[in-house]
Amino acid sequence: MNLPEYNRICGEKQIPGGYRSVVFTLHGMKTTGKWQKELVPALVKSGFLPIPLDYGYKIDVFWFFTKGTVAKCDRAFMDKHAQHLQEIGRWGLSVVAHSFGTFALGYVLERHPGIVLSRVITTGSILKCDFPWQGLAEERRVDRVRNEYAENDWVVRLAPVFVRGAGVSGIKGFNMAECVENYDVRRAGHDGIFHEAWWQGEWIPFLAGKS
Amino acid sequence: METVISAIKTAIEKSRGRAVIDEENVRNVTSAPLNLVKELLVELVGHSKLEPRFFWPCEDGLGTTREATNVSDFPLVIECRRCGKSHHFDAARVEVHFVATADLLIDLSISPP
Repeated sequence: MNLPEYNRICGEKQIPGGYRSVVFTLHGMKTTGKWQKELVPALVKSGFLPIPLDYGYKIDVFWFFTKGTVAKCDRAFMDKHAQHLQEIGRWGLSVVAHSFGTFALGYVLERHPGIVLSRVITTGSILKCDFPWQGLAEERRVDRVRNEYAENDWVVRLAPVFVRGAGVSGIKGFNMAECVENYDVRRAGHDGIFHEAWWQGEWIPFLAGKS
Repeated sequence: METVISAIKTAIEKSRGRAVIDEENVRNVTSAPLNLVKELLVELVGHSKLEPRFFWPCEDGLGTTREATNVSDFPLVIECRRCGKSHHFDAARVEVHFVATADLLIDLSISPP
């Protein structure tokens, strides 16, 4: 049998299959993350187990609603984490997060000390530039972070106005830290890098990298 | 189902625990449906009686270019030791076979190789 068939049967029997790692993908607001569904085949082909989190089309863009929204994302993350605990325990967990998904990821990491991540890709990030990645790396909760930022990302520019606690790391990058690689995607805007050639050339090699 | 399990045991016993088993080996000595054989092999992995081995074949059909106990040990691109060309990792091309665990060998009273 080939690897996808082996993985399918393992999934049916709730046995960890043969994967490089589990990859959660977290989408932004006012979208259900079409890019996630397009990324799935590329990840599967390269031997990952992709888990796209879909927490619905968000309309709660004002800060006084985002607390509820982020709690919903947190529940979705933790539910999937519990559901795939065996695979995560065996192969490790990486995350690709976009826009509001990065904010949700920050919330999950701050709230759940048991969450340990291998590789993290953030794009259109609305986390603050001083998000404590280095502290998380020192606690061995995060291996490496690749942050893709674009100076013309107007969504990120507006995020701190609408989302309490948000920042502009999607425009300026995160503060220097050993575990963080800020990658300037030039003038790609808020969702300019969602295409297969980019994933194959940049994301998948990063996700597959050894510690 | 018992015929399939017995076929798996026979294959392992014959090789004194060195056999790499796949669904075709087992099917050659039983009339069980292929799907049942595959499911049982995976089931035995779940019971720690078998372990998977992953084989990345040369795209030119010249044999295995790399074998691994974990998929994560495979690079994304490999320079093939068979044909010398570069091959890109493709999960659909990776073949999964199985080897007996020490646990199963003890059950079968065979010393681990």
